[in-house]
Amino acid sequence: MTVAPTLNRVLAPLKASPQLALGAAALLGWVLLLALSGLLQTHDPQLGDLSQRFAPAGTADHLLGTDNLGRDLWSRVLSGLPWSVGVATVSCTLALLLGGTLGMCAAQFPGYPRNIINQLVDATLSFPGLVAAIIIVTVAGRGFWPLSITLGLLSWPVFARVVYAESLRLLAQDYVTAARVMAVSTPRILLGHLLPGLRPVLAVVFTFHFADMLVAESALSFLGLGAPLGVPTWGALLQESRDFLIVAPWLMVAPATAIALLVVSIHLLGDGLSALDRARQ
Amino acid sequence: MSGSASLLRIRGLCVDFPQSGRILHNVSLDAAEGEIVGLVGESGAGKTLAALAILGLIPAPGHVTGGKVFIRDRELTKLGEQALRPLRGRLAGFVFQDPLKSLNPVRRIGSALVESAMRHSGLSRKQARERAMEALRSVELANPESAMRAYPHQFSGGQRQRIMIALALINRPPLLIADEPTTALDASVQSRVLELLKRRAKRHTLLMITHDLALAARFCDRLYVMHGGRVVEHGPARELFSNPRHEYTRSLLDALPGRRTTAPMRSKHRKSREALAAVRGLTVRYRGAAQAAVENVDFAVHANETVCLVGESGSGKTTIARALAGVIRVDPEQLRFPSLNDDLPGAAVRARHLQMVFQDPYSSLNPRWPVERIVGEPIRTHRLCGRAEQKARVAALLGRVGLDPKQMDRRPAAFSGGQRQRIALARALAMNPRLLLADEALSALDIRTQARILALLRDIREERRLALLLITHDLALAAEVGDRVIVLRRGRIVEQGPASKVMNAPRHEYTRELLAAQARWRPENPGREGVRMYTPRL
Amino acid sequence: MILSGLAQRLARLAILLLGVNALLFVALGLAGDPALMLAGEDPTPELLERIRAEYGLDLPVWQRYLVQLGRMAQLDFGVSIYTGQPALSMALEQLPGTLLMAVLSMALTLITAIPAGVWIGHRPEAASRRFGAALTAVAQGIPGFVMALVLIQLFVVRLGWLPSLGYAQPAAWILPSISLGFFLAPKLCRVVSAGVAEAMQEDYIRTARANGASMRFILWREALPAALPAAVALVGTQFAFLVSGVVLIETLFLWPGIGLLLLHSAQNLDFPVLQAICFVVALLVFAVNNLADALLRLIDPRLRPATQ
Repeated sequence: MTVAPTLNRVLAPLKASPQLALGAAALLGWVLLLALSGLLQTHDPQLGDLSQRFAPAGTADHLLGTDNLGRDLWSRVLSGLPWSVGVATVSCTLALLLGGTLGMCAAQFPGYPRNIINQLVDATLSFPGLVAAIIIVTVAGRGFWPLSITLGLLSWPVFARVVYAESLRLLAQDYVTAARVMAVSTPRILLGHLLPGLRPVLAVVFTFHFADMLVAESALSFLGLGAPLGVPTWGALLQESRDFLIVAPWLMVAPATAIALLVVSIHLLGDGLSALDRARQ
Repeated sequence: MSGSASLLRIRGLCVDFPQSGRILHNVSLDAAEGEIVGLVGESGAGKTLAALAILGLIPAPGHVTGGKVFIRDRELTKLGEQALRPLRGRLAGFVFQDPLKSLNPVRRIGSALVESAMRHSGLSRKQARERAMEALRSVELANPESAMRAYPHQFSGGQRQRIMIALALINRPPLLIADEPTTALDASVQSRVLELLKRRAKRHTLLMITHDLALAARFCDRLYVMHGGRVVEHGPARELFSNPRHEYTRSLLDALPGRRTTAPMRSKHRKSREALAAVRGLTVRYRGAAQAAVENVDFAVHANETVCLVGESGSGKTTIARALAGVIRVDPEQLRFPSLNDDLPGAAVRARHLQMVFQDPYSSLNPRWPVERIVGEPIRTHRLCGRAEQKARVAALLGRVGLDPKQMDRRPAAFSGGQRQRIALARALAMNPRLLLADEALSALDIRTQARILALLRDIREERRLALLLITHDLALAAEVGDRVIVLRRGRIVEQGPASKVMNAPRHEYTRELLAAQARWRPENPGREGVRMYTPRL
Repeated sequence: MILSGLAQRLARLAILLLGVNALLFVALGLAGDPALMLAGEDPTPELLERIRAEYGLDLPVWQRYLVQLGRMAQLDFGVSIYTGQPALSMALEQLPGTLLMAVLSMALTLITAIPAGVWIGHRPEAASRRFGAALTAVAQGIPGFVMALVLIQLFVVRLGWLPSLGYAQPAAWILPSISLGFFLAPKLCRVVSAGVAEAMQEDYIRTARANGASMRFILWREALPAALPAAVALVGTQFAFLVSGVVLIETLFLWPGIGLLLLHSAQNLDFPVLQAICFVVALLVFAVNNLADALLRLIDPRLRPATQ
């Protein structure tokens, strides 16, 4: 009984915005690819076949070709996906929790808390994240957790700034004032009025930030600082491909296309979400 | 009416929008040379659209589907965009409602005026500068030299509207179209801008668009009343005002302050000396502000009375309301609730004592919540009744404010402005307060809706023996409904006393000024019953 | 107002420098015993002892921190443990290369993104503009360093039109600048188009139309000036992001600049140089942010202090 209306509520915005529908469809494809990445790999991504070195894309057994050790590129591209998505998910969630909490605090408590948080946000945002990440990761070492936590700790101000501005706007609404006049407690106002009001904005920022974190991870891996040796993330694949730009261009084209496609589909979803948010207001 | 030659002729104008269908139906209108013609109606009646259609300025998806527009026998509806462009500003100049939004914030006043003069009149930059200075002088703007170099935000609302008029008149068009030119301005400024328009109208034909029927009746020679995209009635202003033929015009007139049958608000219950809230020496200073928002204000609200707090924007009236409601923290010495046992009531006690209705019906209800949850918020917070009973309680409240309880699952977006104000009222009543604050609660509403909400407020206050603190910029409203009136100016009380006394024998000069400004452009008070200053001559 | 704004900014810069400094100090502690690194191969215990005494490494942690803080306050970042040169001058020597690329790509960004943004924002619902907007969205989705790889593949490897490395000949400037442009240009284009589209809905555009202004005049003289403040603010806030891009692009093209130095120093754990680089970068971003703010006040009169 309750399934149909819920389904309707989910589907209605998709019908309204073709952009959102396209983004959601593309993302669904990526989620499927992620879930089935183990099954879809035709070869062991680490095991090379030296008789099959530099097979170009479209070779019978190798859809995207092979690399200098004869490893299947399609399987390697697929096997890098979970790692990158994992890093982006953890770092984004960390940034959301940290930035969201601090942003709300800055909006709710004027005076010192607000000043300190805002100064911290502005200071962090005025330093190039990649420069800081390079230094931290060099010292902290490669690996899933060091990288995810570094990216999260460096990027929480993105959320803090947006949450702060939006919270200020929401807290100034008359319905919040009305709640105060009705002596509704502050936690209740934050939970009942503020958090649900923040949701659309958070969804948009989270989506775009997720894409940014994917790019950051691949950039660091490209510099040899992200994924540990042996994990074929897309950034690492691109780094490997640089030595063979002339003999084997497909080694670059496949991961480059994969990153671009994934980021564009996430942006599509983000644009759709923000258009939806604007239409609601 | 100086000349009788026809200047503007609109015949059977129809405008369609692809999404919403026909918006203007068969509108016809005439304006003779030198005449002031009023176009009157509530918001959404199509007044602005009709005016914009004259020079082909209808916003994008809309288009003219029928009818003709002539200015001095030139058929404008035949012309394309390229041919119309040089005529805009030359045949007709526009003055829009909000002068702050209607002037580009990042361009200098001088540049806007000079460009416009050069574009049309083929003047050199130097000549255009001269023309611009002359235009600024003609709208009586002090110091036109420095005004040319300034940006819109550096002026006050009234000055900005003068600049808009200068911009509209710089190419000396025969027709001036003013779309709610004084609605965004304070009463005393309104009056001066209207005087200026009247003086300018001696040389130009003026098409005046307004929702204010009383103003139009006094200001214009002839009136056209619009409703739902149609002209329902037209005729000489006085005649139409005193002897309306169409039912809609009559309903508009009946909703005017002083004429609506719903008034007065004054309670039939015996007055009491029990003070529900007493303000003594209230002073509020916002952080970083040079001047206090409210300074040394004293007044009290007693049971069973309606007190009106009147002031223009920036007078501190909203600050006082917020201090009373506990949204702004103030010194406990400055604010007491004598009827409550303790002087410093806890938040919950104060909330049951006093509730508030806000100005903006769009921001005062959480758009994500269904009405049941909105009205039920105070009930849940203070556990006024059991969970099972809550729905019935909300339904009863909605019924009381004249809404269908069956609609309680809908969200605020499904309701009109007036209905939203009713929902907000139901929410405030759920707490069963003794004192209700209404902060400009009526000013965002059309006049007929205003009358209906006012009637509802009166009935409820009688029924529940509520005290009402009505905060408004509208002196007419205060005169009509208040037992006592308090006039505020720049955070200080300039005058307070019984409504009839303040209105008929104001002691302070500022009050006199306000009264004069509001009365000047509206039909006079026949003196029948002191405070009903707006009752038109019948 | 201006003074307090500047004071706030300086405070922020101080917070940033202190934060980065503390971070590097902690990182240095985690990275291992610096004396071992300085001593070279097979150090004798006496040599290590001497180095520790010489560099003050035998002091307690907080004293060491204060000592190096004091040195930094005098702009003394020490010498590179790799080359032995003064760290600050090593960083400053690389600055011109980085600035050249940044200025070139910024110029490229401005002359492409603003007209494109105005063109799209004029009538965002038209089919051709939708296509343009979609193209911008795709361009925004492709990471700049990925784009650089594609450009190298196309123009250097396949077509052989352009050299990929070096810095001496201006032809070699083209690809790095274009690649770096991809970090900011699509974003700027979207901000300009959104700003213009929004401005076109404003009441003052109606005023301009009612005064007979042509569409060209309205677009360039009314709508664009109203959209520019947001664009300038974007360039200001995104400059730090652009510097991140510089690091990647310099690495890719082996362009002698501060980014390349950063990467090498990080790989060698050359902390004095890293300190100096962070200092220079923070100051650079600070300078550009202030420049952008000054420009913002120039083009948006509402931000200027009231004079009338």
